[in-house]
Amino acid sequence: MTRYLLTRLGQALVIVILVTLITFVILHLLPGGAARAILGKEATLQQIAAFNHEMGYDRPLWQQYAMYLQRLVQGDLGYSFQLNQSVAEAISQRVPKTMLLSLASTLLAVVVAVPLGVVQAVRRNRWPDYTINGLSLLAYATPIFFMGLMMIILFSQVWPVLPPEAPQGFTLAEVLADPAGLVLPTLTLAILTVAVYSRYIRSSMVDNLNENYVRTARSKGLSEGRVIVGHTLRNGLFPVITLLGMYLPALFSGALVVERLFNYPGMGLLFWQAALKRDYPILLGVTLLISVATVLGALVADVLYAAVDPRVRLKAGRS
Amino acid sequence: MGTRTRIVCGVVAIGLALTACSAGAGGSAQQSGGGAQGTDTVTVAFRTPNWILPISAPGFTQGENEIFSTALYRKLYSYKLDGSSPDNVDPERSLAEPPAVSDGGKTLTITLKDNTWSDGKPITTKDVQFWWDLVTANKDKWASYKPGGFPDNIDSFKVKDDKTFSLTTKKAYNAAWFVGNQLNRIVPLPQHAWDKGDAKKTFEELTAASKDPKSYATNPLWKTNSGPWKLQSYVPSGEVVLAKQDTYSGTDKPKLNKIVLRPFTGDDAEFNVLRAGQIDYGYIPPANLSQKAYLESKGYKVAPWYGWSITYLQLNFNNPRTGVLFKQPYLRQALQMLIDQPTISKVIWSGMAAPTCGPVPAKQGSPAGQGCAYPFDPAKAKQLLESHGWKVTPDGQTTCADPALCGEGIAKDTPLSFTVTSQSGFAATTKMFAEIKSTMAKVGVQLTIKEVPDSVAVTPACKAEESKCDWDMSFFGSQGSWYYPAFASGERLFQTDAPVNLGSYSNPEADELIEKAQFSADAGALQEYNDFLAKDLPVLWMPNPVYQISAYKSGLQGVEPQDPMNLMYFQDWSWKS
Repeated sequence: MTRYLLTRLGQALVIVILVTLITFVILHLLPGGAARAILGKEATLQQIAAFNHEMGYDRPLWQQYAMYLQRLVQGDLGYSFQLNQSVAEAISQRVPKTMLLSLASTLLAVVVAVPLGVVQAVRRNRWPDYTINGLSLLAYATPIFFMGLMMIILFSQVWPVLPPEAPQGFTLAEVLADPAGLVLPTLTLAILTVAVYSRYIRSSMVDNLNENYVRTARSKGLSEGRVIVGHTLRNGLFPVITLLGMYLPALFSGALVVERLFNYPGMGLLFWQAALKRDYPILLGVTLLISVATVLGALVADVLYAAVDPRVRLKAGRS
Repeated sequence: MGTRTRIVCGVVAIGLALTACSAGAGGSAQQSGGGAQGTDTVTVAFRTPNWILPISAPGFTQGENEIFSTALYRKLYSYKLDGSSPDNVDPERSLAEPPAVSDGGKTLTITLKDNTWSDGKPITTKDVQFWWDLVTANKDKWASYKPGGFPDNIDSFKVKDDKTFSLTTKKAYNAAWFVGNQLNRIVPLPQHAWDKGDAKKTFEELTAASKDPKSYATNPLWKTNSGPWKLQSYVPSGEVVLAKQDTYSGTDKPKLNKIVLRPFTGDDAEFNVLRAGQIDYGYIPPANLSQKAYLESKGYKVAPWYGWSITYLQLNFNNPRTGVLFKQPYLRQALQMLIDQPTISKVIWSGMAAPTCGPVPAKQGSPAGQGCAYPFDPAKAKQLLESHGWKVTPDGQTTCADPALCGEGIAKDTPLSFTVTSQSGFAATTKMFAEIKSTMAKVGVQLTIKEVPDSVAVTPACKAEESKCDWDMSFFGSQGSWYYPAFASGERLFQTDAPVNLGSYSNPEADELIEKAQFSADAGALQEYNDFLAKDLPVLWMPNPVYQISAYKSGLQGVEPQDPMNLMYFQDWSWKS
């Protein structure tokens, strides 16, 4: 198992370095330099030259990349001219907020989606299944900005019980001190996720309910509740684990639309604004973080698989 | 309890919890005699400023930094463009009396009024000298510095006494130009609190402190102010709170205790919060202008903020393919006659734009679009093209049929087809170019619209042989292309090789008139320059949108008139009692 993990970590490192290299090259091939995007139309040639020199953009690309890697090894992600902040500071200011929103919405989605999927599977092809299915499809098909806008209009204007924006605090504690503000963005994100998860759980549960081990369990006289929750659901959760693993990068990358709509400056928005302004250090920093999260996500999903499915453990143990 | 009952109970419980924790959170929009946060505070939608040192660094010249800086540090001169005072100097807000001009226009003697820093020390010529020493020693790091410009154009800076100093220029300038466009940069700085003896070292330290936004509210450096406000709290990329400066020595004392500057992640977020009544001063994104009546019914006053600005479509005279076309005056005139500025302003911009006719902005309130040299006239444009040897093919492709008439360097069968690099993210701009494209197609002029997030970055001034010189036309005027300082002269825009002459327009006669407006005492020089360029079309004039469509709670007084040079004077604001 240790060897397996080490191999996977080694592969992960290579992938992360490749991702930074590709991002680096692509970013620098974009038309229009960072200098003009950041300094504006009034910048003189001298100012542009000074900016390029300060940021190292006047050196050959390979040198710039080598310098970037060198700084990275020292734990320095660079400085964002645009924000007048270090990249690490800008990211660390936003990551906790983004994670809070993503975790809250995922948690809510799982808590709601699992029972829904189970109900659909148990009552399949009957009215609860049809109703939930219809609603899921509707939620899935609704563009997220529209969903968010509807939420705001309904709950903060027509029936003004919730604020139209997310908490504006600087620290996580300040954000948590205003839980009402988190409700609408969390719900908006969760509704879409519920639709996806419940569909997966339904189909996985339907497959499992037709398995022989379920028939055996029933024939042993177990109650229907124990058959479903104790036996079928455990096996039916595999797709959710895969999805959650794939979801880890999203925890860090944030949800651009929701962040914009609810005035919640998170990672998605940071990346978007940096892309518009050619803020290379931020773009590289965020890409690096997300690629690390993606690779780790896949790794965590594998480990979770092993925890849930003894067959995976056995295979890993043998190898 | 069955499974179904349990689920229903769960859903009800979550719903109750959400309602409970949200009680009182929203919807408390309308309060009389005060705003979202009470009667002594105003909440303003405002991008987070990210530069505090009143000497702006390249890349930090955004409007929010200017407003923030002016709230904390008064400039030597403030301006108002209502024509009520000589050279537009605002006598109330300025730290000095208007300059006395002598020596044939070369020497300006300036006397400071009696004012103090927030720590009680008087503001003296030492503070002006300190600013002067910092910028002259570090001019390459100052955003406003252009080689040959201020302070290179100053022969000597002399301090006479604590209250009086003088500047002698190398050449005699038009006083209105010098006062409006050069003296506007001077900001007396607290020498007693900041000076470390060496101008370079001091500047380095101040810059380093300005590059550390998270310490803005705590660093003692920024606590000695001359402005009506002091910084109470600052969150990088977040909320900024300004508090009334109790020891402010100016006559325009703040009437409120606190100004909360709240940034928004985008127009949608800002508008949702505005609709919910949770900010006192915000703006209506142009795409949402249809909801003006709704906001008014919610107690907001909607006020377009007119800028001292012009808007234009930049033509690249150096483009190796289309530059020869743009160099033909008749062709520029024909293209201009295909832009229906009055209708676009009225219909597409919903009246929140007005035609630009020349390089000097029209005075606010003057009849829009009247007297443009080349008003919308497709028939005349067609005739003009045909008379210059073009075979006009309506809804097809107009081509040059007679190169002798088309003009120098234009080959037979050259098509009239251009690519416009425009701004993405502005619905009205997209619609405007769709309209122009369709009108131009009617006389066979083909426009291709390419929208990019930052059109200025990809359409730099260039030489014909450079690969980046392949752009034809560039538009970056969704909020106005160019905002002028008090004196609207063209030395930065239309003079040969001027810093913002992105299209490399060059005309010796225009250069001469620009010089004249800058250097001669002739009051009519600016008008002469305007009349010439309005006709010569260095760019295509386009509808000039308002800076923003402001919306503020109707109980808030003193917001209007909004400064056409985009500053905000929060000290004038108060709640109706």
